[in-house]
Amino acid sequence: MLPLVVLASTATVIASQAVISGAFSLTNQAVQLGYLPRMNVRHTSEREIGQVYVPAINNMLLVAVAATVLMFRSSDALGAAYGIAVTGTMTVTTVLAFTHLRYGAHWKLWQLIPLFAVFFTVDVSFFSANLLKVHEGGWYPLVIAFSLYTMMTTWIWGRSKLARQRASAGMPLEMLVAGLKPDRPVRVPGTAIYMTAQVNNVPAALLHNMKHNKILHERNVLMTVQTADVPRIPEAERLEIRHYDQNFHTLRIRYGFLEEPDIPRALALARVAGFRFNLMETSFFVGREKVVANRRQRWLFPFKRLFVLLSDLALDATEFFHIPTNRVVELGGQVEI
Amino acid sequence: MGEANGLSESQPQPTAPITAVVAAAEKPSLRQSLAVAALGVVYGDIGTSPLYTVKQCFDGATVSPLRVYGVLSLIAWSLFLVVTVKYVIVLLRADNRGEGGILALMVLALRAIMRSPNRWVLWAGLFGAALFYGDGVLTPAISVLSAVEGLKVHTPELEPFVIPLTLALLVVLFIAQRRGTGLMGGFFGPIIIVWFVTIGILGLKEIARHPAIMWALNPIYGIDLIRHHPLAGFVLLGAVVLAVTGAEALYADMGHFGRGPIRRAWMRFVFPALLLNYSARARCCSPIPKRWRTHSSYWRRTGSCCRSSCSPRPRR
Repeated sequence: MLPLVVLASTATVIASQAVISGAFSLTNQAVQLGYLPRMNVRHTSEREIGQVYVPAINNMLLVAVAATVLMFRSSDALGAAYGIAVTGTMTVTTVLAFTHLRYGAHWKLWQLIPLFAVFFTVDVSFFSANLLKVHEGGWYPLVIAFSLYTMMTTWIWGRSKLARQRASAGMPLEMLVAGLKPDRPVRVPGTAIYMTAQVNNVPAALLHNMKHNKILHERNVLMTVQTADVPRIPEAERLEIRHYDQNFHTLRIRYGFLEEPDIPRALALARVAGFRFNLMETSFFVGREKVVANRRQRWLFPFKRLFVLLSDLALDATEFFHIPTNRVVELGGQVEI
Repeated sequence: MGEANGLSESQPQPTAPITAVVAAAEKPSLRQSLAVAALGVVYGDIGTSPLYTVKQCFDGATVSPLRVYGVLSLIAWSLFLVVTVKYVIVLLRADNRGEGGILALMVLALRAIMRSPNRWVLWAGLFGAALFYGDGVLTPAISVLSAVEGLKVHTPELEPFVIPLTLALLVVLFIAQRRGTGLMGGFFGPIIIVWFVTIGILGLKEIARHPAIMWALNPIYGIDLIRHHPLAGFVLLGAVVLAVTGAEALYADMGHFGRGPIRRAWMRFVFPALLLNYSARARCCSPIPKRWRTHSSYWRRTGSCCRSSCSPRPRR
């Protein structure tokens, strides 16, 4: 008897692994797609590209799970909370799958309709049967889901708002290049690489250099790192280089959402393309923007505060992109949201 | 971070990463170890559902043959429709170049309707993902807690230590995660294999004694149950769903192991073992019903829950 008890208990512990691994996968995708702040993601397998471990999510899950155990104290009590989250996800999955198979994979309607009528009926029955338990504890996963949903949508909203602000306030690179005089500001030897979100606009760090230090480097590269919605980008398509007058260049580096950006490697790739960098004579300028919430549009203020909190938590760009730290100059500044 | 660099160097030209993975998985030893790991990680949840699902289905209900057959029929067909057809056959095809899960699916759906930029797909996908995290908090809590409670049933002296022991196990489980899903699977896989073999054999033994229960695989019994008792049937669905709750995680885990190992493990091993065990449990976990025409002799023989196939159960 005892071996069976131990086996059943061990298997039951293992039952939580599927969803833990799933949470890592999901987080990795969400970060790469820009739905969650940047986090440290570790690839734990050389063979399977999708095997990832996200320390921050692991720690947060542990805390949340432990709190849940302390709150409910028995599996019977937890049973009432269980079911609504997963049946909700399943229903959404069915709807999205229909959309994808109909419009993306072009399945025929006569194939899709009977199949999805069944799926949808089953999902909705299961989901509504679980709705009966909302007051007994089903509210709990819903509260968790709504907070995460708020977090993700706030992050998306804030980032696009900042991007719009930058786009409208920024000066186009062409305009700067056209207006530069050969002797002013003074050009100093070496290469400056400016990390920026949009290579078409002059980054704030470059303007700071001109305004406060009264210099420009001999060669200036505006670099941006973009994440595509495919898992991997072939090396041949990774870089997009454009040259401007006055030794200005733009460099777009693209990664798939499963890839870990690695700037030194990408620069080595640029050398193959005839664009050489001596890392020892190259400085990386990173605009370190502190986001602050302004008090315009008062009703948005809580969301602004949440966005500020999330940006403070986000991993630094230098760490995320593996830039050699001794070559980085950070120029601070504030942006309002 | 060193590991990550190693990764990108070992796969310098990943123009077609998935075919590369598939090719690697074709080597028999690799293929097997991936399938074993996939079993341990992906199917622990669905695999331990019999421990509590059947019991929940009979909780507080008057047991009639109609209900026993109906419950088993509903469970079996939910497993078939939701796990086999929806997730293993249809959704495992819907990968964003190897990655699965609701966000990958959302990206595919967004791409599909690119011409008419519909925000609802984004909002729906994000909400589904948020719900998945909700499940991610509940599942470890409920599964580890019920595992410890299961031990308590056997050793009542454990009573005051249930919560501390649960928390300790959780800490160990989460600290171990840094070793990677593959390693967790390598460790859990063999245990889960023993588990499925055990519940499969226990189920088989029970069915050998009373093969008539297999008639319940006829969907008509499930439909009948819902038709005759719509309200009770509806409440019952809330318990039946426990059998399939692990299916969404199966899809989310596709990137960890690839579609092949996950699909093979389900079709050849997990699904048969589960069907056998659910059948046995449905028969023997139900108290003796009153006379029932054709199968009356077999029903009358059933006393209280037969212990052999209802292994002591941590409850959910």
